[in-house]
Amino acid sequence: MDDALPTTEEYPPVLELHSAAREFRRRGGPPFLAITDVTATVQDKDRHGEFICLVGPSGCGKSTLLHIIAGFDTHLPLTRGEALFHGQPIEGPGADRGMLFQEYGCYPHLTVVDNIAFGLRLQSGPDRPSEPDIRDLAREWLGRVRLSEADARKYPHELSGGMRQRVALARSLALKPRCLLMDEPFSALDEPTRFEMQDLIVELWAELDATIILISHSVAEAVYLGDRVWVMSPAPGTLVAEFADVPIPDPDTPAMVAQARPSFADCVAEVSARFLEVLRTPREELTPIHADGSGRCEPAGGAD
Amino acid sequence: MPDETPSAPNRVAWWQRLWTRPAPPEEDEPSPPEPPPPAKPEPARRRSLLRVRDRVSPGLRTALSLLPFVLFVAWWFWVTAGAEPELRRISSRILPSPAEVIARCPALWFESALMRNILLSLSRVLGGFAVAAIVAIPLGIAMGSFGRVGATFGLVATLLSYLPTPAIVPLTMAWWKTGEEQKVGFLALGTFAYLLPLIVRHVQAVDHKYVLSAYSQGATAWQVVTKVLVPVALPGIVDAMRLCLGIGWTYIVLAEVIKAGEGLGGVGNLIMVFQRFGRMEEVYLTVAAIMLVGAVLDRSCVWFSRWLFPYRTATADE
Repeated sequence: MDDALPTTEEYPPVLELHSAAREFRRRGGPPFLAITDVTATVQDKDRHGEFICLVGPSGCGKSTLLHIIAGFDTHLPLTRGEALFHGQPIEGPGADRGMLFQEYGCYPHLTVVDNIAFGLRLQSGPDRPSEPDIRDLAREWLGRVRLSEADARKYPHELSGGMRQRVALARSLALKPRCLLMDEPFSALDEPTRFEMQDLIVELWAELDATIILISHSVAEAVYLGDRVWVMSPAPGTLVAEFADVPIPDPDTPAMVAQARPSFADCVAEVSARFLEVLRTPREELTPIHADGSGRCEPAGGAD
Repeated sequence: MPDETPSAPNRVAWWQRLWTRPAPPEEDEPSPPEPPPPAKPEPARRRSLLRVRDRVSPGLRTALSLLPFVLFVAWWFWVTAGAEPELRRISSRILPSPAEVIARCPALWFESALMRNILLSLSRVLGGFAVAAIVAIPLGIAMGSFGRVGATFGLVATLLSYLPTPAIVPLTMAWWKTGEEQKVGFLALGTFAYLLPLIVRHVQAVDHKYVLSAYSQGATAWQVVTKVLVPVALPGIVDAMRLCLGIGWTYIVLAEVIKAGEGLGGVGNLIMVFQRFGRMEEVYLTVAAIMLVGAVLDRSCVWFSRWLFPYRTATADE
């Protein structure tokens, strides 16, 4: 986290997707087109990564898109188009793109502190921090995600769901990823815990320079957390709407309070209305957009 | 009971009627309201004997677990009562009386050296098991981790799990004569066939999200196998080993069937000898000893695995 952060003019965008499509072959059937024509650009804005939230009906290919960015399933290249990370084609997973799942975030055989240190210990070569440094870093992250020293020696099965996601978050962030991908990270949590986690992520993100892409099934969560909200169409999934002017969370107001304000509710209503429109429009009448931060909303219908 | 018409709304199968109360005959006119029954005194609340999924206290658990033995021994005394073997309900050639069996204990212990034979058999089972584990664990981990290795050996493993174990006893004798190699080899084959598919399944059962997480933290393929797949699957693998060690122990009698030549001894051999001389008391005692040793072996594996994996309960969900 040094001061000489790249500016957008000098460096290629963090993430570029050009008409990306991925097909899955199915045994004894036609191939399944999971996503198609996804075109998006994510730039660093003002020395800071962007927070993008992706909403869409279930089974529309949100996770597939995230997996493409993470570089999973590279035995299965993109069927069409290309995906670039810092100008380089994504060819496999790496520690520069952290991933957080809804569940199974923590390794069951490691204690909390060892879970956080896991990624640091995987490193090799001269950059690998020494073992005492790794332990200090893990302890530091333990505190930053608001876990106590008493939790450090616990195993994941002794923790609540929210605490496990804190560990998973700390484990990803300790590696200082350039991009953090989150697949419905808070969906399995109860509501107060979800708000707490939202506060935590808002707070941590302010200190980080990472780009975050978060899948959510809650429009309110997406509007609250995201700088931009992308709406995905039903399968074959493509980006059909982008909201770039959603309110940005104020780190000093708890999520639970901020989301109860009428001004926030109005904004959620607007995005929800668009989301519903997408859900109710036949797939073939939806046209893909280029999600580049301009916040354009193409009309959902084709002609009229 | 009224005849049921096919259109009856709630038809019940004949067997259901065995415990379904017959429907009251339909009445056109409402019967005069019955006088309310006299208020009965509230009976003392009786707790039913069988409750679904109730917790059993340790004391009661011990008592209940002894119940089948008590019943069995009572039955045993009853069917073998009578001084003259011919007048008993069950002949002593089939089931000797408790007293007769107890009387043979010292002879079994001292003359037939039960303990030494148990230890001999145990060493053969552990030897065979060790050979099986040394091959099955690395191979199973590789098969469960790498799709191509799994595809290569998958069919072999499926066929092996249908290996008719008792039938290969004569084959192992042809390969290794009747010495120690034959016994260890037979037990190794028998346990391997069970162990391999179980290990593969436990490695495959590790949730894919652990693998993806590790990759996105910068793990290499080798690190994913050694630091995620193997440690997460390990409690399951140890469980599979416990199961197969038990199976191996029950095969001991098959391994020690030979009656002469090299490699005599062991509990299986003891049973063969006692059977030949019609000493049913010792056959029963030896069978009981084999079961007891198996149970002790199993319990110690469970304790060992609990000590080894404090996160044991974690394997179920997270």
